[in-house]
Amino acid sequence: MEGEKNELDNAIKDFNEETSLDNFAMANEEEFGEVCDMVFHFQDQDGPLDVLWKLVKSTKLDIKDIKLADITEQYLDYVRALNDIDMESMSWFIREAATLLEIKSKSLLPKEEVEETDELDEEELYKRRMEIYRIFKETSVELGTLENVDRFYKEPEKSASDYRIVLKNMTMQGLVEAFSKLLVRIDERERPIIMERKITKDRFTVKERIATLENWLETKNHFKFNEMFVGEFTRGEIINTFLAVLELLKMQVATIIQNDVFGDIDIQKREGGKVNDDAEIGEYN
Amino acid sequence: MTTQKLASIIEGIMFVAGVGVSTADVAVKLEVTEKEIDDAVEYLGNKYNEESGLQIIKYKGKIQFCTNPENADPIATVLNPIKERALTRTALETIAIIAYKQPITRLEIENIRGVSSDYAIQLLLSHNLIEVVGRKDVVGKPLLFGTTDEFLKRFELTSLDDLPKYEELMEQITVLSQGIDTDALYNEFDVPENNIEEEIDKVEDFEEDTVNE
Repeated sequence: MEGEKNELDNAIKDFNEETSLDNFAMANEEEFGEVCDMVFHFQDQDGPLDVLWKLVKSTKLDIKDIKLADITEQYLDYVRALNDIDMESMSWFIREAATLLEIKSKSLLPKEEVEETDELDEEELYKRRMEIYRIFKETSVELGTLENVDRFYKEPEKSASDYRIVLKNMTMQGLVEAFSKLLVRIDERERPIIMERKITKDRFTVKERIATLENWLETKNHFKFNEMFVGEFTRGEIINTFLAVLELLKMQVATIIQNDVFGDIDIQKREGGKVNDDAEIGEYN
Repeated sequence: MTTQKLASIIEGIMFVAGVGVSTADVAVKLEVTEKEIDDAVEYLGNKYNEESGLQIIKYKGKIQFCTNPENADPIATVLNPIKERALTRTALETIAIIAYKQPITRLEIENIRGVSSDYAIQLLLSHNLIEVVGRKDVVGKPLLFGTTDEFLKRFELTSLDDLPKYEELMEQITVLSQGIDTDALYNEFDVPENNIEEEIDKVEDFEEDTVNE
């Protein structure tokens, strides 16, 4: 059991080392850097202040004893050598270069004899800025050792923080009373605006009417217009019938004869017409 | 209520919650003393010990269940994609600055790092390790960032005071920051006190004078 645990520990350690992004980026650059022109830096390249700190370190002196002017030249060499770097990063490098050059140029000029003021000189301020960065950089490494990405958490229950409705002193009767009160109130507020209406379903469609009328023509040869409306008809049915007659005319199955204005309309069979029962009247269905 | 009974209740609450449960909140709602809660939590701490598959993580007065980190790999093998990568150097640097100096703007972070930090900030935001906590009252009203509970959990801190060398570091930074004016980062400008029309008149007078000459 003990052995297994150690093995697991080692496995985890190996895994963490393998997956650390620094290693990954390095491996990636080695493997693919030569094959394709594109090199990914994974945003982990040294920033200008990192470079400056490395230069300070290389002098093996304390930052307080270093003249920034002395490392400016080396820094500029480094920047000049930066080729495959994007504009964004480059601009940050140049920003530091500009500041360093300004400090250097001032240090080369003969100093005017001025009274001591409370204001710190730029070199001192710049060194402090570097110092602050170094502190954060070192702390971030320490913070990194605390990081634990190996813990997993459970999602909250979906209903966990929902509002809960509690009904106090609730009875069925109370509910019914409340509901009827509500109905009364609605009744008072809303006088019915819409009158109740009946919609009667037509007994036949245009297509069906055509079939009936054609049948009549076949058997009786002719019939009067009024004969079509014996009994009760709805408005829709009358319209359907009228459309059916027009259709029969169009299909040349029937002719219409009317002798006087407002006189009886006689619908007669016409030879040679043919009822086309699909396409033409499909729109009335 | 016995400690065991209370512990058993809290155990259930933690399981359902899935987020940090404030012990103070539990004490108020269950009408028990903080002492009783503390005892119950301690009891649970012994139950969910180093060997246990589940453990209790504490931060900001909250408690929450999490898995034993030793089991991370087997769990990740079975339930594949939940394992997260450790933060990159850049992201660590950025979150360290935010953690110690919060609330802080992007510009201030970049000024310390001396390099663009947009990518790192976006990454930290997407991991919910930092959040927008307000806007700084300077020109442009830039966003202020601060760390989240997620940050405390990930770095196993009970509170921000637990940050490594917090006091010491803050002291150092304060000393070093003397004379450095971070507000100078923002293009602060003074609105002219004089009436603008007066200023315009002056300019016009001047122009007239030069023309006359």
